[in-house]
Amino acid sequence: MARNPDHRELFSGALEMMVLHSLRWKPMHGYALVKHIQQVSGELLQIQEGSLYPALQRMLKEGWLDSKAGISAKGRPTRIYRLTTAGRRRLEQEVSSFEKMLAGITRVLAVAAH
Amino acid sequence: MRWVRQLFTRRRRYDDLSISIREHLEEKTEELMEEGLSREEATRRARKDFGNATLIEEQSREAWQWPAVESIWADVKYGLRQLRKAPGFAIAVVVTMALGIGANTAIFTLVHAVQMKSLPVSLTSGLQSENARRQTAAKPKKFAARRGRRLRAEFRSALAFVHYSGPSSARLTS
Repeated sequence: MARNPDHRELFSGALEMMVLHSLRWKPMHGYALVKHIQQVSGELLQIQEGSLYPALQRMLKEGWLDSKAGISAKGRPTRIYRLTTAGRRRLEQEVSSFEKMLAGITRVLAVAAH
Repeated sequence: MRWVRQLFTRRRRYDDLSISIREHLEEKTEELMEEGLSREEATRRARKDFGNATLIEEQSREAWQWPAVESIWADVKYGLRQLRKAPGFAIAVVVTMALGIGANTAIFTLVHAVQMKSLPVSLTSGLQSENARRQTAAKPKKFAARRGRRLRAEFRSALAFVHYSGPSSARLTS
């Protein structure tokens, strides 16, 4: 995916939060996950497809996800990622901390410039 | 013991990762072909959208590795390979280092024995230092004994006197 100069980089942890949230909705394989995030975010987010995989491995290592052998929509063998209980807890923490950050930034931006 | 388990399941994790990435590229290629692209063009686009697959796979594997330890181990293996390639150079290096370390040890042993080793007495806090530089070469023992008697009178609280004339001969008088 070509990088659009109008788009800015995501903040650290944003991709992980979106992955955890998407997998809470339903277990998916890598490509389905990328497509889901791209479709839901529309044109607003530019995510390089490959950047998902290092993040998935980190989350597997942390125990937030687990993976099992499965079949893709096209009938090919792949690995299906699923949220664990620890992942669910992590998602709640991430969302709560993100909402606080967003509220803080919004308040600062809401102050009218003199 | 999670790290031990991870060490044994790492191979499987790497295989899972390869399978996931391969499937991703194939599924994307197929979708692009359904949109009307040729296989060649679709493969090229899928790879471009994905990014550098080899590098990404490598970065993903790092989650299961100990970067510091494994990079040191890789350096050690590289060093040994280089030494095996040039045995003459390896021997020269080993001999130079052996001589250097040997000479250093010998000098240190000497300096340690002469200058640094502590006196062969306990309760060193009770020791008093007496400069015997004026001692004459002809009558060292007599001179030392006389000074000892004088000092004993002066420092009644001192526990002992050591007539010290070198690292190997120290005499204790109480």
